[in-house]
Amino acid sequence: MSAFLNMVTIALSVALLQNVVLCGAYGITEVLRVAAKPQRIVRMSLFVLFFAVAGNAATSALNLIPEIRGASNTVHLVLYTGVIFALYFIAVIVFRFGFHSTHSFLRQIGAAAFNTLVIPLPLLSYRAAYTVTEAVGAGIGTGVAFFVATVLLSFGMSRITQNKRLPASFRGIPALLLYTALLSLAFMGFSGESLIV
Amino acid sequence: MTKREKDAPEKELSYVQIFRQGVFSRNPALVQAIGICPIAAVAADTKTAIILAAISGALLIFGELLASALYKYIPRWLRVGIYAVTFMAAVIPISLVIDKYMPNIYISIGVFLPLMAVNSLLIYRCDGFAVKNRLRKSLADAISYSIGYAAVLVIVGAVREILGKGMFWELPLTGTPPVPAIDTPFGGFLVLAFLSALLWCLLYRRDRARRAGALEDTADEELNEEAILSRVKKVSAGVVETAVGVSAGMEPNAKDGAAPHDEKGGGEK
Repeated sequence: MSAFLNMVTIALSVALLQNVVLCGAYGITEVLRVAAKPQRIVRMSLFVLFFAVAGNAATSALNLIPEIRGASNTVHLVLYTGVIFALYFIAVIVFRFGFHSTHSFLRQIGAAAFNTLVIPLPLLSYRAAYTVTEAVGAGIGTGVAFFVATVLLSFGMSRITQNKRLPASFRGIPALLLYTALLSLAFMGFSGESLIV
Repeated sequence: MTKREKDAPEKELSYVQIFRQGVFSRNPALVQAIGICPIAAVAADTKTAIILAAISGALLIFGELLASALYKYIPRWLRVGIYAVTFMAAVIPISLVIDKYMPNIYISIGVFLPLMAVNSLLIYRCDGFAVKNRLRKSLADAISYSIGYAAVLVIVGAVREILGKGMFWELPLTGTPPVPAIDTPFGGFLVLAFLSALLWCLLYRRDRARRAGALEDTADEELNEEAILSRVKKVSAGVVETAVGVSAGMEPNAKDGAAPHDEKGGGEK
């Protein structure tokens, strides 16, 4: 019960209280890209959720081996990349030959697997000394954080596009970045950190 | 971006056009919002920003040359993973060197050093340009985008160091009370937004100057306000032609106005 509660707490913290995307800027490029295409939000979020949970759980399980746990950062990095690549390879093979998916779809799998949100997760979990269940919680939180950030940015993007009063120089990417900055500030408010003085 | 630059496939561009695109009209961070994760998260001081700029430049040049020479023979559906693994293999020795000779920088960059390997800029340029072009043009493209990206990194790093820490090059400045929020990703996004607006403003001014006959090549390189506004709207609406590229499974070289994400239209069948 305690392990389950820990998992839920970590998932909520990663997803909402300290949204890793908006507070840490992890994976923000992918979030902006996906937010521009609302019909892809759910699919990409599910892909990110899969790679984050499976990758993080697998690497946390590997960390139970004393030789791996005591290895250097470089060894961990190689290991984590190897695990994510293996998951990516399996997913791509399944979708390519099992479902005859298009190249565009397969590249989305690549974008979900190799980004600045999924790749650092095992390393951060290792530094936080998460157990396997806690690592699963962090993975779930990451997937949800991706979904929350894309939905918020997608909504903002549609409103920004409609706003005719914006100065010409601020239309598009500048306004979107300003909106992202404000969202980031809003989520950082949950951290209790002093931001002004 | 000029009309010619916008409409022509990238492989037909001259070296000057390639350079101008990478640095100004298609600046990866300010115009296309590519690779902004390290800028927003880590580039909070000038030294770190310079190191990141050097690493991303070296990786981009290495990656584009490799992609141009070899990766065209790898199936497209597998390339994204191959790029990531290749860049990770290149980042590891770099991180070992930085850890040994610049431990403070290594600590300040932290987890973002290995993350440079999955920077969307690298994958996007390799898959969007290098695999379709010869070595020389790929090298020119890598250099121009590296300069454009590095300039943004360094400017953002310097501004955030001055405003966020009240210092420059680790030397304290008088009269600038530090604002800790600028040190956070919020500050990174904020500075990026204003820099991006500044670049768009310069593009408008260039357009106005050309229309006023101040530049000689007006007829050759038309850049009108409607074209820019149309492009901005497309960016806002999510039809980001090249920028979206590989990072969200889109066709990097689609023309403006096309919907490169669409599975029916984009991507190889």
